[in-house]
Amino acid sequence: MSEIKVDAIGPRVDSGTLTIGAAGDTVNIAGTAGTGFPTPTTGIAASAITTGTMATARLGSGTASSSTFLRGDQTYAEAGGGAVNLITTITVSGTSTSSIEFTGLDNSYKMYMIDFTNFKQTRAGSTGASMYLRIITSGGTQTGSNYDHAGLRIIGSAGNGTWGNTGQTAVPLTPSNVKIEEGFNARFFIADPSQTTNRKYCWYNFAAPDPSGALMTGVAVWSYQANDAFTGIHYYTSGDNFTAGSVAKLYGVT
Amino acid sequence: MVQIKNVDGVEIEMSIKEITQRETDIVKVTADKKAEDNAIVKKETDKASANDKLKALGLTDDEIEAIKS
Repeated sequence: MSEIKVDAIGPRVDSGTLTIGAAGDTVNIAGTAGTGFPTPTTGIAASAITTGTMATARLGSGTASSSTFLRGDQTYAEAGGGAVNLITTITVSGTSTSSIEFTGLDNSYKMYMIDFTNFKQTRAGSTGASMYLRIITSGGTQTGSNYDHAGLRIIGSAGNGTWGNTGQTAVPLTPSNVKIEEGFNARFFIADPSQTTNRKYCWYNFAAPDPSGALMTGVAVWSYQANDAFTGIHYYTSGDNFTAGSVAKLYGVT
Repeated sequence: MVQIKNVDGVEIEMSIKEITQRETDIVKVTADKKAEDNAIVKKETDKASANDKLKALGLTDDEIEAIKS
């Protein structure tokens, strides 16, 4: 191996191009890279890379995409386990909103969840069951007497109880003695809304205070007396409006 | 007053049909609440009446409590 020792090598003219080797050659640079280093093939310390974004192919094998993650063995792979994907957020504003709707339920997910976070109504001193839900089908919001519901409530100071009915025009979300203006927190589950083989049995749980301020929680099941596919859920308040800042979110569960 | 419904995060004005449905719902809820209140009052009245009849038969309060549990 021959060796040339000089202090600098540059192009023949200032700001010109210096070419070392040719296509197909292997050029090894044994020293430590400095700032503004050109593009050698080997010998660059990782700490010398200070700008730009590394190509995903340089980090691991497999296909890098928005749905894959880089594992410790430097392989891109699908994320394991299930996931809860936020689909839609509704935040009530103003003082005239008396209903909200989530649409777009289909067979993209086998399970949908709807969360109510600190949902309130404007009516002070309210104690009646005045928050309801109805299903939306291809025929629109269903208002016929086809809703059944049954629930169990647990109240800290006043004992437990049940509530329920059949053939109603909507599903009341709470038993009659809930202090709704204090905030209603709930999670609703709608399983397989697109199937039309049999009736769908949906459920939810909630937390809210009763009129005396005692803690109340409950769980309830509801069903529509037909096999129609649900394309959405319609919530409404009867007689007053939802309070601005009330938040509801629709999730798809994989 | 304009009534609003929020569909997937977008506020839209309720249609005449929807407002009519809302008015129907309010009437029904009011009637249901009244029926529920009446049922509660009747239950309390029946309970007091039954208690009085049991006492008239000579049962003590403890004995009445015992047969209720």
